[in-house]
Amino acid sequence: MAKKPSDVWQGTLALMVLKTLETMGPLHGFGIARRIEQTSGDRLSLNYGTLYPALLKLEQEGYIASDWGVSENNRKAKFYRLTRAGRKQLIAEARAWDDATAILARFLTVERGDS
Amino acid sequence: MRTLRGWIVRLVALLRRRARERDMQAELESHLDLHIEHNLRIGMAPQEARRRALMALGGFEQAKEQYRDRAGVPVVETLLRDLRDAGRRLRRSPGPVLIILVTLAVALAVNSTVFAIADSLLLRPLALPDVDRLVLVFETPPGGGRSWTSPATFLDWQHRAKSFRTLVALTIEDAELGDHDRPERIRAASVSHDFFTVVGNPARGRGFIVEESTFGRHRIVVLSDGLWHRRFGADPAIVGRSVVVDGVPHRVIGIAPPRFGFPYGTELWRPMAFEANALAARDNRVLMVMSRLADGATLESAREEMAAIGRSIAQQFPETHKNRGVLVQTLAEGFIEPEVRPLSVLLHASALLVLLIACANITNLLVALGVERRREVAMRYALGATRAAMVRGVWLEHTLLALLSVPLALAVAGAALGLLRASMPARLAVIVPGFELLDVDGRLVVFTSLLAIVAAGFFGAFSAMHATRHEPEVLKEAARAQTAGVSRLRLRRILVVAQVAFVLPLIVTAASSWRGTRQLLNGPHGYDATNVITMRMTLPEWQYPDPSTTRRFVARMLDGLRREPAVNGAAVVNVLPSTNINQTFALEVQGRSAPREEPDYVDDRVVSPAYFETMRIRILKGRAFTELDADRAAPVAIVSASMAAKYWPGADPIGRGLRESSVPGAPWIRIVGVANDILDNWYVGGSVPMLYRPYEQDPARDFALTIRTSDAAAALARVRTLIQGIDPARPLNDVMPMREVIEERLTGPRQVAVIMAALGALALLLAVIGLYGVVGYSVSQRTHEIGLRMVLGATQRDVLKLVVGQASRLTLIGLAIGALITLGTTGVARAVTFGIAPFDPRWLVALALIIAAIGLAAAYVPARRALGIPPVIALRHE
Repeated sequence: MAKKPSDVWQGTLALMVLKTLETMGPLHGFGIARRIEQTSGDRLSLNYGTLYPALLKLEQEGYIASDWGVSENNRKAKFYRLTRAGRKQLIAEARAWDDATAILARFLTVERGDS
Repeated sequence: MRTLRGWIVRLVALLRRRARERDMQAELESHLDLHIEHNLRIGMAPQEARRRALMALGGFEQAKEQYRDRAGVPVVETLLRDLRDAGRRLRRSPGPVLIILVTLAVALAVNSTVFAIADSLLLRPLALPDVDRLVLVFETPPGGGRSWTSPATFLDWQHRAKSFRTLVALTIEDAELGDHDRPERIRAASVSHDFFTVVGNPARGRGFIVEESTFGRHRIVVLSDGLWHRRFGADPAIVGRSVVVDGVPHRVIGIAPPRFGFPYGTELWRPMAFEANALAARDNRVLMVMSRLADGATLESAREEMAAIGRSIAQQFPETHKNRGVLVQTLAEGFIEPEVRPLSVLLHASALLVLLIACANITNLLVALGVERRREVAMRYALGATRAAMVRGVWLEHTLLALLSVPLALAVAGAALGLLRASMPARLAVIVPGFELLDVDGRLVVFTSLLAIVAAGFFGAFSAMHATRHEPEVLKEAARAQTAGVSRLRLRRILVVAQVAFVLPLIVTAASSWRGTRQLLNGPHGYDATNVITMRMTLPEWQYPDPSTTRRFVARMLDGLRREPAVNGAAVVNVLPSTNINQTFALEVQGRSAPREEPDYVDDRVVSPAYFETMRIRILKGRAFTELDADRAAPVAIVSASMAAKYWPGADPIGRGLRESSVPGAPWIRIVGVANDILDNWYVGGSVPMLYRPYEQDPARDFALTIRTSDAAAALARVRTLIQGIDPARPLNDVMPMREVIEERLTGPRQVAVIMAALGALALLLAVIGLYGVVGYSVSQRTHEIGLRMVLGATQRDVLKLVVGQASRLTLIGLAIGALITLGTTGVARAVTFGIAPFDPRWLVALALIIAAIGLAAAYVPARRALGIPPVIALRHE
């Protein structure tokens, strides 16, 4: 795994996880992964192995919490849910992301107009 | 913030590794199950469903590893694992580990003990708030050294200096507390009114205010906490009440905080009031000056400012301040007796040498241990361990070992400090600043731990180098132990040589220190200290206002004592030999050109006629004083032999004149005799010029009484009755045999001598163990060779010569280097004996011979053992 892109990826992955939990409510790891892939129209393919450390990090930082529960098919699974801090973080990060994309979009437009 | 929280959670998680591991396993399994189920649902074959799920996860074990890295702290986990390994390895060889622990603990303990002494007595001797910013200010006389200052100069300093909060003046003099029923002499200080704002306010009541520095309002006192408890039963109502000090009622306005006794164990403080006429004379240098640096000022800036002020004062008052400067010292610098510092350096250096010798022994043991572990090391390399990882492991093992020895070291140091405290007379302990702090404390724990880690790095460096060497051939079944042992043996030999080289100067110095102290204690002193009892008396000014009343008291007392059958001689003297006080006389010799700017000072002793007879100081020429050398008779003096030799070399001093140059128009004093030199201020080295004058011609209110008697108890009882008859309120202070006076003065050097002797013995023991270890090891390594030699016809003698010869070579090389070190540091020996017992080459030779003999004995034992093995068995020895 290359170092630099993974940092960016990790940041966006965290945002995606938070957003997924906000829309879907409590969900297990596999469910989160599937949901991200579906939302992206299967254009994103997740390495599931990187998802769990990311979840762990969010939990350590107190943005999400986890409990063991039972899945829709009666399987034991660990369910993650958003905490209040996580909700705030989601709003903040989403806004930062909006700003970043807006700036980048404008930057790209100007670039095209010049050439 | 959140990141910090993450780290805390991760660190805490280190403690719950098992639970975390289970949780992770369960979650990843559940993930796989869910994914496989999903794959099956979208129509994959079971095999394929499982394969795909695993692929998406990136491998089950790999996923776990990624998870773990985030869950815990990888570096810490590796460290913990290494630490566990190190612990396991240590448990595997309990014998050597125990030896290392004890050796290291003892060596650390001596360093801790010395550190504790230096720390509490030298580095922070005074328990005062923010003591680092407290300073002392002195004048510097043209000849060097330092002197106190006069009230006039003090006021100039206070007026001009900006580097200090305020300058405080102090004088120290004893005071008599209580009236006729229970008078007690206590240490008292007069201080300018700012004193308590500089050193910290009293615990009860208040400090002095500026108005109380004027005559008439100055009859108030602050008591020490100890005095308050002792004399007044800690009664809080004493504040505001009146106590009698020097016969005059004083109001108590405050109680100092517990343990506060600055300076020199003072128990009572009075405000200082300057008399108008005292302000006129600038050479009236009676004030000690202290201060606290102002905010923003540094010691350097204060020094610069005071130097400038000193120059300007010197210009303004050339007759009293020509070539005089100003010295600013920290309190710690200023309060340490000058002879203490070299001793402290010596003790530190010696303790470090002991630690080095111990480290050499430990290295020896570790190298031997490393040989046993060569297979394990080679195996680890074969399994892919890197050298860095191996060195880290070994280093951890050593550090762990070193830290394990710290509690043991602290226990030993604590016991040693306890002994030291117990061996210090209580009356000395109060005046040694910081002595009550002498104990194991947090700083000592930190110091010992750090030293242990440094030591571990030191003895670990060599053995780690050897222990982690990559030697794949060891894994071969029949590899001979000797093949790789050569360089190890060389290292061990170097260590033994170094040990012996360090031991020699150490024990030579220890012996000098011991010898010097014995000599100071047992003489010859130039006087006879046996069967002499001494005591101090002070006649208070309010009761004995003029010299004639003082003379009358002393004459009546000596008269009465002369009639006592138990008393074989009694005399008064202003200053007893072997005490830390002195009185000097600014000497002007008749017939010499005008006195120089800075006169010579000679020790000044004012004695009653029987002093020489009582103390058995021989009169070499001329006569002793008699009753005729009285008040109105012609002034006379006796000079010591060294004074005669210095000022009248090759001439007869009798009949010559001298006088006190600091008193304008003083009458000439005629020399009537020459007395034998006595050993007095031993720490300045040898005898110093001493002048004796008759007590009748310059009576002091403060004096010591010396009595020669073969029955001290009876004599003392008679003295008490006698004095009761003259002045019932007169207490006798510091009653003790002359011999005890000497012993008390030698307390410091004796303690140093004891510590040095212990260090020397320890070093010698360690070196002998080291030598024994190396020879023993080399014999066991060469058992095969020895067997071969014997089979080939070598006699027992030859073998003995071989083994012992090797040991003696090592010892001799070590001794030669040690002798060079010793000869290079003879100055040290002089310092520890204050020049009384200078370096003596005979001692060097004798001690070297003793070490050589012990070394040979240490080699002989393993050599005999090797000979005891029958050659056939020796040949089979691997």
